[in-house]
Amino acid sequence: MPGKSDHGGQDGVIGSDDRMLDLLARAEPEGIEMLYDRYSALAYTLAFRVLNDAGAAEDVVQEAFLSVWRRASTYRSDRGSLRTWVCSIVHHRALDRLRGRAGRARQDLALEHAPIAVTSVSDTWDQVVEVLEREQLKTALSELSMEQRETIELAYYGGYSQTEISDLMQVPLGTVKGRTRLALRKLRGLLELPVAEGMA
Amino acid sequence: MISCEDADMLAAALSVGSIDLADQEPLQEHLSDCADCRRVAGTYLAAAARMPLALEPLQPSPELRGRLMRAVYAEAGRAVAAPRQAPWWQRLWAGLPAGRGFTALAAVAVVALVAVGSWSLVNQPPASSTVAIAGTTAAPHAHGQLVYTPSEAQGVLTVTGLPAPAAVASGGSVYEVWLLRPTGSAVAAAFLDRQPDGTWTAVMHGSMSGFSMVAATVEPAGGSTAPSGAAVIQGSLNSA
Repeated sequence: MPGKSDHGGQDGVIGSDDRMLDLLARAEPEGIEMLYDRYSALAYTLAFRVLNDAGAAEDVVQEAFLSVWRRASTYRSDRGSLRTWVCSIVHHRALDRLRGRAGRARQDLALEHAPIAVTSVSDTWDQVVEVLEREQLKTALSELSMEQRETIELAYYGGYSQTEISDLMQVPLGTVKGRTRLALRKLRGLLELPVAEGMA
Repeated sequence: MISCEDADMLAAALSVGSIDLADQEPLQEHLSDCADCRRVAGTYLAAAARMPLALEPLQPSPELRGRLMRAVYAEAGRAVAAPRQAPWWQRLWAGLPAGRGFTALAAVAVVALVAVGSWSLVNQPPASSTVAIAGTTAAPHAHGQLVYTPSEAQGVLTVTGLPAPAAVASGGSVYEVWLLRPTGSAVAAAFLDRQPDGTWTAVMHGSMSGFSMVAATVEPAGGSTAPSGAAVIQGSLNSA
């Protein structure tokens, strides 16, 4: 048996973003290629979940990665991981597009129109860790109360404001705010996120 | 200016995109002056950004990559790089007959259920518990089990259907077994040894408490300090 030394550290085995950051900082297109190959599925999954439209989701993903490419020099690792940055940009752009739709029509996820999930037993190390992270997230979300989970999902995926959620759930605005904060605090704790991830 | 308590509440709303328009400016004003609240807001944002990880992953069309890269290379003033060939495992997967993926998914689901059910026995405390091991697309015929005996702090991994790549057969590479913690950190646990009957076995010593997954990768002879090659098998220990 090999020595039981811990190799991964707090960053885990997903690997550091250093190589990508270096390339992006030097405006090397290979950096965005690496970033795309690592996070495009996550970005597209998020955009599709918000928009339920494959074409619109791809547009958002393309815009988001182009934005990352153009703003790479402004990225600061002490303000959060590259994944958090990419997801935030995709999320904001997806919500902008959703809110720009006429009548703010939102479509419930219609599985028959959904792209085929490509989940399989993974064969790269990053994907093995993704499976692990997915299990962690599902567990963490299941620890939230139904009301807390519904509140943050209406916000995050549905694009509803707190006032709109208050109307939808027929609860006071303060309750929505409280549930949102409690849910985020719980998620943060369950996922053991480092406090060092600040923001500008 | 709003209080830190109010800013905390609004920062949570901001992280999931639900902050009301009227609240945005007061929050930004507060965050511009309050480093503590900026830090807390960052943790909310990081937590929210992990939410999509719980979704079943989807893949955009292959054309999207080409469109994006053409735009990026054009802005960089360079010719578009030759399309990079997808990793062999992606090509393999793409080449599978339609429906094969769902069959594999179903198999994985069954394996996962078996794994979950089996591993939960660890806490009961049994003489030993068994975890099902599934092959990845790199080794689709591989399967096996991990039998863990808590009283002896020993796990025995047995895998069949695992091919012996030329490099492994010639001693140029090894199958290295890893245990993963929930944080994602990996611990080298053992090497798989090929038995005369073609099965692969590894004996792992030490408690497996605190680990969430077991996997094996192809590594250079002598092993690696961290996983670097393709994973060939994996099993979930998560319900312990």
